[in-house]
Amino acid sequence: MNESQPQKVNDRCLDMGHLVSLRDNELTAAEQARAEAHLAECADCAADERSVATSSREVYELLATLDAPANVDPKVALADVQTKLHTESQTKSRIIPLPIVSRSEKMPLFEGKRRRGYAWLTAAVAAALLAVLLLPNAGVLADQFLSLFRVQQFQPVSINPQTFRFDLMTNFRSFGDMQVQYNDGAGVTDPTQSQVQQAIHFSLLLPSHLPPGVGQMKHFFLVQSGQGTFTFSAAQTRAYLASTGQSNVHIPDQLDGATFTITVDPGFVANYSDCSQGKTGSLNKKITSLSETTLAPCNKGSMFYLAEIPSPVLKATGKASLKDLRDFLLSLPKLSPEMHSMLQQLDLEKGVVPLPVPTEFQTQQVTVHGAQGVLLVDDSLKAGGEIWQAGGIIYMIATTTTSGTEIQDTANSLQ
Amino acid sequence: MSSNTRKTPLVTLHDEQSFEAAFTRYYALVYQLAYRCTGRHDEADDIAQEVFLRFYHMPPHARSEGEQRAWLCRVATNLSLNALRTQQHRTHYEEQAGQVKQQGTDEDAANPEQQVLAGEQAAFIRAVLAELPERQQTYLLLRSVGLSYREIAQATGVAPASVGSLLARAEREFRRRYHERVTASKSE
Repeated sequence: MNESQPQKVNDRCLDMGHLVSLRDNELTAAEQARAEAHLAECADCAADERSVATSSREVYELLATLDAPANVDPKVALADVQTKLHTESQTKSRIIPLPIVSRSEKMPLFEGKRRRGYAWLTAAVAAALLAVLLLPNAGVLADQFLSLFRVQQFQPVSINPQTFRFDLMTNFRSFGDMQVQYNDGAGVTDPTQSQVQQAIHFSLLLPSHLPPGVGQMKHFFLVQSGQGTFTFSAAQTRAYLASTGQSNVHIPDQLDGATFTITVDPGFVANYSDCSQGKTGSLNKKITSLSETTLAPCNKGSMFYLAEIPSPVLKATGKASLKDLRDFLLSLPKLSPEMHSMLQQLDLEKGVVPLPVPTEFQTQQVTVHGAQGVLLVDDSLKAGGEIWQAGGIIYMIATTTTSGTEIQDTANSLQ
Repeated sequence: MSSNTRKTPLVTLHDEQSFEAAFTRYYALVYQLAYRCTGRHDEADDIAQEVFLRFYHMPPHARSEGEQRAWLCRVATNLSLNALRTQQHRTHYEEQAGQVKQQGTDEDAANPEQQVLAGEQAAFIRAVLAELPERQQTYLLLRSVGLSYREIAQATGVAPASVGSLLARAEREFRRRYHERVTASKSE
């Protein structure tokens, strides 16, 4: 037996794994006794054992030359980390819910624009997913009020992100109870590409072409799977409507106690940069916490984000249909114009989903991988992105470039 | 896909004291891992601090100190190998050696020639390490800083019984590539 023949040649001879384990004292007492007994009578294995000892000594001696020249004092580093944690806690208390900043805010030019770009990206991702949450059933099984929705394409709709989100969230909190259960993403907080591939239920696609200036360093974040259940409460809704001067709105009987569920399969976000450090945290939390955990700006080079998330599955599981819920929302006199527009623009026949886009962004319908997508660019923020759906997966890219050609080339290079 | 209910961890970070204790105990190990990959004090320090920031924000659900150590080493290895990859992409081996030369000179002016040679050798070894498949780099690094097979298994998600074989392959591959490079550099 030799190094080029690592497997057992018979039941008694020791393969390289056993020899290495023996060298490292990692065999059980019984295994060790058997191995040593065999080595005493097998010249080939004994020679292999000596070879393993010599070669491994060389490997670890070489690696040991990479050691730091002197011991480090953790006290200094601990003080640095404690300072960072303190600064973070101060900053977090000032975080404004998405969208994070307005155009009038005074921030350092470079970082400020970047931060706003990410804030928009976060808003767009969150809003896109939340928009899907509101979709009525596209393939209704009328008898069971069951629906299964698959996004086919996106239609940009100009919105004011701040009022849009406020409107959406307030309504849902006021009309009933929302329970969200996240599944454990296998506890992977800093997954490798192969771990991401194992966690998701579709083929991971990565770009072979990146916009200029984007680093090759990839950091992955798992978007964990989960299920949200919304239960409509007529009493709660009535109280809210009375308190907001909308008492004359009719609440359909079938909505009281009706339940709606949304199920999201695991997906991921990849961040390309020149940063040597990954972004803190994973997406094993709410999507809406993206801005706080992963989209902190990197100060080196251009940034690039790729998200691949399965289209959520939406079901009406109670006595009311999703259409009933939508019709009720449309009947609210104080529903924001953006939300009203979005709900009205749903195209159930073609599966077109309104994509909320801040007014300052230029949008363009494009074809990506044979599917219709939306290209978004904001010259003032120096940011752009693209979103499309293919094979039941929603793909989103965002980067610090405004070149539509570069963004399009990158999107088409996913493989 | 498992549900959200997890076993209660034995090792948690409920207070600053336990964080400080973990930091004091494992910082040198984490730093060493990062330095082995980057060869730069500032970068290794950055990586080590990032590891502990993650540890603070999202402490692992470790049920033993071994699991805690394995988690720290895994995160440190991932970040360090990312840094190593970037370094290798960004600079050629000769440029690397030049950079280390300058650092070595600063750190030990009394013996600059020896520092240059050590820096060149270290850059050479890092280049070999960077050529290996990522998993093999990880096994070698974790073992080289003294993790047990159980800890390596915990850090990489493989069965403890297979660690020996995986290490054997990684060591063989490292040696093969190292000697190939040595031969190639002599013939240049």
